Amino acid sequence: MNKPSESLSCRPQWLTLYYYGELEGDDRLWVENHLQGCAVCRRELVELESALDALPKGETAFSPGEIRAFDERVCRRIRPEHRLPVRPALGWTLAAATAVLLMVVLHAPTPVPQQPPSEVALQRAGEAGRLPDAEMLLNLELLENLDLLQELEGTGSSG
Amino acid sequence: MDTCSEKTLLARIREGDDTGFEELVAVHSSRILSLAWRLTGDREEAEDIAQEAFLRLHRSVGDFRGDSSIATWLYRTVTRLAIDYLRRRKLRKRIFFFRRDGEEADPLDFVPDSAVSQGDRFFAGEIRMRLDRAMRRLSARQRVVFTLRHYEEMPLKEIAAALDLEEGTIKAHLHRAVRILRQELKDLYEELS
Repeated sequence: MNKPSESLSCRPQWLTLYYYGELEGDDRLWVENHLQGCAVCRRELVELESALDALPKGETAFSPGEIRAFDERVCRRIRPEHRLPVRPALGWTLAAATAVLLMVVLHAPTPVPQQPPSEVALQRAGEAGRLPDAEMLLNLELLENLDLLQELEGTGSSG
Repeated sequence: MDTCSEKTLLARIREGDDTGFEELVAVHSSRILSLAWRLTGDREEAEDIAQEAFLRLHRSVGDFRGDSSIATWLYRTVTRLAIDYLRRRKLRKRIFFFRRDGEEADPLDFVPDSAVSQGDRFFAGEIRMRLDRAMRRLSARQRVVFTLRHYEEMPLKEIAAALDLEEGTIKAHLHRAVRILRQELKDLYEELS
């Protein structure tokens, strides 16, 4: 959109292209002739030049060290050894998992007589070689209370 | 890198010589990273885009006919990836409309140059921050065209070829981008003058 003070022959887009050296031959000549006779466009070009020249140029976002690190990262991605280690790792994991599974199956404990749930839970925790955590203890306490309630209920109904 | 050494390098890479690709990365990475950063205004995203461009080049090196130079190919790929990213970002911004522009600016983008004084550093940082914000007002294509012409000094014909667009369209994008940036940075220019 042209400014009110611009004449109909003004071509603002051409000034941008002129600034960037993107006009050739007759087009360039046309702008140069037009500038001689148009004060509005002369001013516009001066403002355009100062605006675009003020934009920071030549900045670098990455230091040489960061660029080197980037290069290494990219190269690591394309090296065959980057992709291959997945297979042996997977193989060893599978072998270890199979061995653990076999040990569990072969050393499975024989069935034990029916025990109250709290004792079973404690025994299993003991087999696993770790202490029952707070939540488990709380559950055991609830179960014991339930047993006690059932006993009391039985006593009440029989009495 | 001249055409001859580029062809030799490509031949080495095709034969499975990864050191050839390492050389290629070392030659182009600085400019490609810088371009990706200018296009996106985001360091992390720039690294991801630049890396993706190199990995795509490695995958397609067998089919690389050499119609264009490696640099042009990389520029084109980075530009397209950046346009995709910028469009996604704009879409996200529209969805999360409550997010302010200033919140998206990465402070690391404004890491100062130790060679300049503290006052200049502050002012340069301020300009960069304002410019970054103004650049976000541009459409993805406007931003890419402006960056390629203004910062990378790529001729409009090449930009048109890289983006598969008519040269006239590129000219219009450039002019609109310049107009928007001038409008957005108007008060800053007044301070400068």
